[in-house]
Amino acid sequence: MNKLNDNDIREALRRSEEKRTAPTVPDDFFDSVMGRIETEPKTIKLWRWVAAAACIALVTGIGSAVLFSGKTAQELEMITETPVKESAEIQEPAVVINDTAVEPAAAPEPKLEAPQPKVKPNTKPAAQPNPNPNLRMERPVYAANEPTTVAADNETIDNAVSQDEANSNYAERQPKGND
Amino acid sequence: MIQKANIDEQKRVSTIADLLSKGDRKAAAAEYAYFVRRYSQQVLDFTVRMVSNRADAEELAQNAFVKAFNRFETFEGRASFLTWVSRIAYNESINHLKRRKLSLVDVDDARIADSRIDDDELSTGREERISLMEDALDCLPPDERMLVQLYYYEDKPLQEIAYVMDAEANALAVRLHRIRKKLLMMIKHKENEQVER
Repeated sequence: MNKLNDNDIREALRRSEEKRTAPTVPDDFFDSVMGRIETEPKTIKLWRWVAAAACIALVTGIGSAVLFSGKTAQELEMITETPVKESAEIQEPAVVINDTAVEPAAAPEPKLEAPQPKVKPNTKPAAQPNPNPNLRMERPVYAANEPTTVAADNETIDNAVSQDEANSNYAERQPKGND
Repeated sequence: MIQKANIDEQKRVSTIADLLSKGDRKAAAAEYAYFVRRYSQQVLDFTVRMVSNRADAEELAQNAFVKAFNRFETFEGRASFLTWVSRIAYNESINHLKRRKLSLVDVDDARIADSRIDDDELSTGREERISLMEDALDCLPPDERMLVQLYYYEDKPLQEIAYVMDAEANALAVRLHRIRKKLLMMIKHKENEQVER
């Protein structure tokens, strides 16, 4: 950029400077500056060390968290790999008492749960043929209309027992076949 | 080009930098005292031009010297020590003005963009025009007044002024043109007022 002439501006500035009195430096100016320089604490650079220490602590914390979470995931994988094997094994008793007078207890057979029949609620169960009238009929699971109280249950049982006895007495009264 | 320091000052700057790197703050301060004695008048004059209050100007000048010593490792030596400490003093003054919420921007800048001037309009040589120019210069904000002072009165190159004011030289050139237009507008406005009377 070429230097601007603008002589009016230059002349105006020159005249202003002539009228202006330059400020004088106070006597204590030098001592004030040097005093502040000598007593200035070195805390200006301290924050850098604090910041560096904070960064190191943060990185260390993050690294530790990553390592810890990594171990936990590995442990979970080990656990999930062997769930079927443990349930299939039959657990044998730790102590075996070899007593001839006492028969060793038979190993418990694995329970085989019967499949639950699908039944609509509030519907009477279909009439099932009773193969043995002497057998006590168990209360069906889906008996929504059946009595649920204990007293009612007892009554039901009593009725069944009486019916059973009645059947047995009838059998006894029947004439026996020819020998 | 930015004014380069003389050889003696360059040696002192190197000595201070070495002492500070070794941690000998006292010896470095003893060497630094030379610069405080040598340039306290100029730096104080600089801050007085920026802020009107004398007590504030003295405190700002002290702050500039103290900060220059504390940040001595950032002094690259591209400019003289005076130019470098003037830069610090300028920033301190601007921050002081901002804290005091003093205006740094002229509200008439919006009208200046459309106005056009000839270079001869600011070189008339007429007495009344120069007198009006003195009044118009007093109305400029502190930072614009400093720019005009450094460029027209102290005759410093734009590169050095850009270093002091922490700005781009091209931006300062644009700003200088806007200031010229503003001064001319103010002068013409006052001339019209005098004619109407």
